Amino acid sequence: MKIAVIFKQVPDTEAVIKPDPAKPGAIGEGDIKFVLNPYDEYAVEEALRIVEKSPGEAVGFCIGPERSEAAIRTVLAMGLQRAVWICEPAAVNADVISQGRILAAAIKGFAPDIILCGREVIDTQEDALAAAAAHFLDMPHVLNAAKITIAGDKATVVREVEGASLEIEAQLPAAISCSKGLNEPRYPTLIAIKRAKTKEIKRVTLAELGVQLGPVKSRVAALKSPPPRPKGVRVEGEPAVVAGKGVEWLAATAKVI
Amino acid sequence: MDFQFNDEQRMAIDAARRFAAEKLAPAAAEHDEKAEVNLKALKELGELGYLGMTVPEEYGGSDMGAVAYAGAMVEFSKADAGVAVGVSVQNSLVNDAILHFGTEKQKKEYLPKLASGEWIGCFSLTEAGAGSDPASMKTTALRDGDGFVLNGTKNFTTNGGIADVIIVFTRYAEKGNSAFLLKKDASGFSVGKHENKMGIRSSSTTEMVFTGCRLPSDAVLGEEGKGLKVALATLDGGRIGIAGQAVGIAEAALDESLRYSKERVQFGKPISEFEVLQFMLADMATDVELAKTMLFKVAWMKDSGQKRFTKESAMLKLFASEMAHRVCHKAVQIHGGYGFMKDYKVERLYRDQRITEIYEGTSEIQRFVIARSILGA
Repeated sequence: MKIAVIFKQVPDTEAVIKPDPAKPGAIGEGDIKFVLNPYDEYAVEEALRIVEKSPGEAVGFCIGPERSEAAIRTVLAMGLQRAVWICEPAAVNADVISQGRILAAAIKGFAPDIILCGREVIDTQEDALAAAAAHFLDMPHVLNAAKITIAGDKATVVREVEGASLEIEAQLPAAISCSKGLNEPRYPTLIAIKRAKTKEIKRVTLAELGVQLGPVKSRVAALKSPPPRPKGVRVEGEPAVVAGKGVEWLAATAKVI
Repeated sequence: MDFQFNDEQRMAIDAARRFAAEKLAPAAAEHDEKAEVNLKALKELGELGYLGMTVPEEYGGSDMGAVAYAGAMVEFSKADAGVAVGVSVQNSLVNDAILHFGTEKQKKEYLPKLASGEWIGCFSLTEAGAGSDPASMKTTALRDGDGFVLNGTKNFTTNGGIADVIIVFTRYAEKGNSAFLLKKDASGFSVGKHENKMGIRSSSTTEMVFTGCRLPSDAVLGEEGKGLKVALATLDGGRIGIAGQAVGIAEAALDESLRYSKERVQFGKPISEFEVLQFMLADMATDVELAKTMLFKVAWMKDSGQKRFTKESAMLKLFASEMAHRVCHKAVQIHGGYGFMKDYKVERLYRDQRITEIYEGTSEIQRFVIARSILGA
C-alpha cells in the first residue's frame, strides 16, 4: 500500500494565543511552542499501521513555513519514510481549496492508494484540506474516520454520528480524514528520532509542481482576542436566600426562565 | 556558547514530556499513596530507549547523550519522581558503571537487555553502617576456589525489589573493595526488607541480602580491589540524573504555584496580585532557571567528553537539590492549608524533593567534594 499523509504544524494546545499587532490576521509567534497537529498524529499512526500490515510506502506531505521542519522531523521519527514540503509563502498563505490543489499536484506523482489527514487543524479549524485534495485528484473522500478497514480495493470507514455510527465504503484510491479515537499514536523511539535525520525531506516549489495560484479569493483578514469576560454578579447570604436571588436574577435580568 | 537543544535532543525531550503527561501523571498520586512501583511505565520507557540514553548503539542503547537524558529526567520528574529515579539509576549508575568498567563480555551480556528495559538494574552500595563513608562497608567477598563468596546486607537500594541485575560493592579481606555484577537468581542472594518511605514512594527501595552468595571470578566489575573507584566515578555521572530529578520536582512545584496563585482569591483578588506572593514566585522561577542552566552545562560537559567534572557535578547536585527544597517549601506555603493536603500535588512534591538532598551523596558530601577541589587539597 502507498499512503500519503497530509499534515501541518500548529501551536501547542496549551499555548496562549495572542494576535500579532504588526501582522493583521496572524498570531504572535514569539513564545509559542509548535507541535504536529494532534489530529494528524492519528493519520500518521494509521498510515504506519496500514503499511506494517501491507508493505509499501508512507510519505508525508506538508505545507508550512520554515519552522515546520520540527513537525516534519516528528512524523519521520514516528515512522513515515520521507516527506515532501512546500514552504513558499504563497502556498502557506493560500486558502484551503488552493492548498488542496497544491497538495494534489504534489501527491499526484506518488499515486497513493490512500490519502490520510487529520479531521481538522486545531489552529484555524479548517477541515476541508483532505476533501479539496481528493477533489483535485478525482478521488472519493470520507471524513471523520473512527475506524478504517482496508480489504482489497475498498476502504470501510466507521464514522461516529449523533446516536449512531455510519459505515461508509469507499473505492480506493480514496482520501480519509481521521478523528480522535481512531488509534493511539505511538511515541517515537529515541533510535527513530536519530534515524529521522537521515530521511529525505524534499522541498518543492509551486513552479516545480506546475501550480499557478489565481487571485486570492478568501483570506484571514483579522484575528481578535475574545472580549474580556464581564464582571460576575456576587450574591451573599444563607443558601436559601442566595438561591432565591439567583432565580430572581435568571428571570428578571437574564430572562432565561 | 550555544544554549539551543539540537533537533534530536528537543524531540527526545518533547516525547518524554508527552509520555510523562499521558502515562505517568494520571497514576502518580495513586502509586505514591499505595507505594507501588509503576513497572509498566518503566518497561515502556525501556522500549522507547530512555533506559539506555548513554549506551552506544552497538550495545543496544539509544546513545542520545547526557543533555537529552537530563532534559528527559526533568520531564519524568515533573510527573512522577519515583519513576524518574528508576530511570536515573538504570542510566547513570548501572549502565554507566558497566560501560566504563565492564569487560567486553559483560557489556555484551548486560547492556542490550538493560538499555531496552528487559532487565532492570540496581546499584547496591549503602549499608546500615556505611552511608557517606562507603569504605567502612562490612559486606565481604572472599576468594573461594575459582570464584568468590559474598556475605552481608546492603540497604536503601533503589530499584532493589524490581532488579534483575545487581551491582554490589564489597570489601575484600586482602585487596580492598571490589564491585560485582550478578543476576537476581544467583544462589545465596535475596531481596530483604522493602522500605516504607517519606517520598518517591512509587520507587522500590530495599535491603539486599547476600548469604554465602557464590559468584564466578568473571563477575568482578572493574579491577579487583578497585571497587570504590567504580563507585565514586559512577556517582559523578549519577549526579546529573538526581539534579534533573530535583529540577523537575521544583519546576512542577512552580507550575502548580503559578496556577494556584492565579485561581485562589483572598481579600477580593487572586493572591498572585499580592506583592509578597509575586516575590516568592519570582524567587522560585529564578531558582529553577539557574539550576536548569547548570544541569545542562554539566550534561554538556559529559557529552563533550570532558573527563573531569567532579566539582561541577557536585555543585550542580548540591544546588539543584537545595533549590528544590526552597521551591517546594514556598509552593506549600503559597497553597496554605491546601498544600498540606494530599489532594494537592505540592504535598507529594514536598515529600519527593527531600531525598534529593540525601541520596547519591548528601549535601554535606557535595560541599566536602567542592571544598577539596577549590582548595586544591
